[in-house]
Amino acid sequence: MGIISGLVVLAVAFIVGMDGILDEWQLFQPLIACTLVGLATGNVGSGILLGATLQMITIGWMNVGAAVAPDIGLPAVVAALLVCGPAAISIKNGIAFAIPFAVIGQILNVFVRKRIVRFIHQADRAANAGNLSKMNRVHLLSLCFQGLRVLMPTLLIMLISPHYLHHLVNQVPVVVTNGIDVSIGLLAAVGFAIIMNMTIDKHLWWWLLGGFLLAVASGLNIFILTIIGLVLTIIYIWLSSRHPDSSNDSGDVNEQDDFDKELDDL
Amino acid sequence: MGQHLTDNHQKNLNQHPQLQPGDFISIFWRSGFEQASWNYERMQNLGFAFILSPAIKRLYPNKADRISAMKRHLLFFNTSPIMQSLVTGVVLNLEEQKAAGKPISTSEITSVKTAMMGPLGGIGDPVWNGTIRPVLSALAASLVLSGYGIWGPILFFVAWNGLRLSFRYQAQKLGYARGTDIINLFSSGVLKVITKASAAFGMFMVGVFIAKWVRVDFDLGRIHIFQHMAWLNAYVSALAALLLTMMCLWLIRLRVTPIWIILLLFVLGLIGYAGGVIVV
Repeated sequence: MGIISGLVVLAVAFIVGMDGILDEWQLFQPLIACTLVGLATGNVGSGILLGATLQMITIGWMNVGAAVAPDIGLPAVVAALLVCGPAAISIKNGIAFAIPFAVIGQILNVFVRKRIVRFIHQADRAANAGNLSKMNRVHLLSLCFQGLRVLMPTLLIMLISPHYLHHLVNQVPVVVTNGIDVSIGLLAAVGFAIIMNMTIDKHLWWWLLGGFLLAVASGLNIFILTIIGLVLTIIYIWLSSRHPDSSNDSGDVNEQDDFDKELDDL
Repeated sequence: MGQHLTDNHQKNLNQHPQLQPGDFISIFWRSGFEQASWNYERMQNLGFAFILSPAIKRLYPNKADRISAMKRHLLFFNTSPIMQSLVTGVVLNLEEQKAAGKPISTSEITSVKTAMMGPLGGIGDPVWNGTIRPVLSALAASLVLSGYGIWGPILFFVAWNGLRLSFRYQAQKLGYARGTDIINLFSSGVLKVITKASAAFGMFMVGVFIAKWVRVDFDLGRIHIFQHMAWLNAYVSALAALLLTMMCLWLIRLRVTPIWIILLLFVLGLIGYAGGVIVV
């Protein structure tokens, strides 16, 4: 890998680390992060494929409130570097590599979030002095540390000889490689369970089962199923607004009136 | 209310600084950096102050006022990031009134922030992270796997950020225009309907995803009595996928962290394959 593409990969790692904490542009999602690393290393095709496969596993991984989920950005960049870079390992081995880095990324994230408390105290001092620009600088400096959180491990991986990594992966017995492939199929369940844990209640189980059974029985593709899901949701909301009494959580008459009024406004 | 405010502003035009169009744009741009200094002491506190700093600069040229504004926005704050723009808008409205001499206390501003961040967090996380992002990224990943390559990531990026930026922009505007009246929105039930719709749609889609993407491929043909029932494979595998997801949910409810569940599934996959129960 040339120096330029190495530097671009590091720049991507830095940006991914920053967006990973911001959670705004979603550049840290594997779908995009792996594609960017693929572009940087001149191997965009496998980057996109790896990204899509990894995306399905990490789809439900999210930070809710103060709880930190397994990291997404660091494993996406590292796996893409190993798959698209000179180590040229297979996509499924790349995913196997990604998992320990999800743990490492999570640990580093918690570490940085704790260390930033010091910066917060600096910001307090800036506030006491009425120094707005210093306070803003402290904020952006914290962001740089989150960028370094992904950049540093990526740099370390880059320094390991790609031939050694390639050789190492080839040493893995076929049984394990195929076993990993099976595991990849299972892993998506965790993310979906995280989403369910946040949302599901008694009557929502029917929605989940409905989607599941329709997908299994009809074999329709996901785009058509999404449209069906949207239509069913709209019908459901329409019906429950017409029959407010059938809904358990609707409150008194006044609340219902307000709600109708707001719906008219929309 | 809006008219009343405008009149007030006209009256105070010469005595008191007002927010300029450029300030709103700058604040909107900064809103994307809210979580940069997320910390375990006061979470998004510095982020909120960072977003607000163009307004603080504009409204409080006097040093003592500026210091107290900075201090009150460095107090604890945490909500779902994208929903925060609504809080920003309301706070901009309050700060502008305060700067114009209205008797609004620091604790009033703080309590408005605190009152909004809980409910908005409770809506924002399930809607944005639990429904919109999973569905968009799933559709994009499916596009990639059906051979559309780069269009998957591009569409995901454009769709998500289009929604996010327009929401943030509108929410900041709405919050500023309505001020504390926005609290009526919380009690009106509209947010309840949005949450309900998003949860129903989200769970429907999770059901679809489980059927499509959790792969537990049993090979029934290996077991003698099932040899002529190969058509059952697909259904048995789908059922296993559903049971596996419910097992993960159960483990999460038992407070097993996701990482341990992931490692468990890795081991399960290896053993399942080596034992010939699950096939690739």
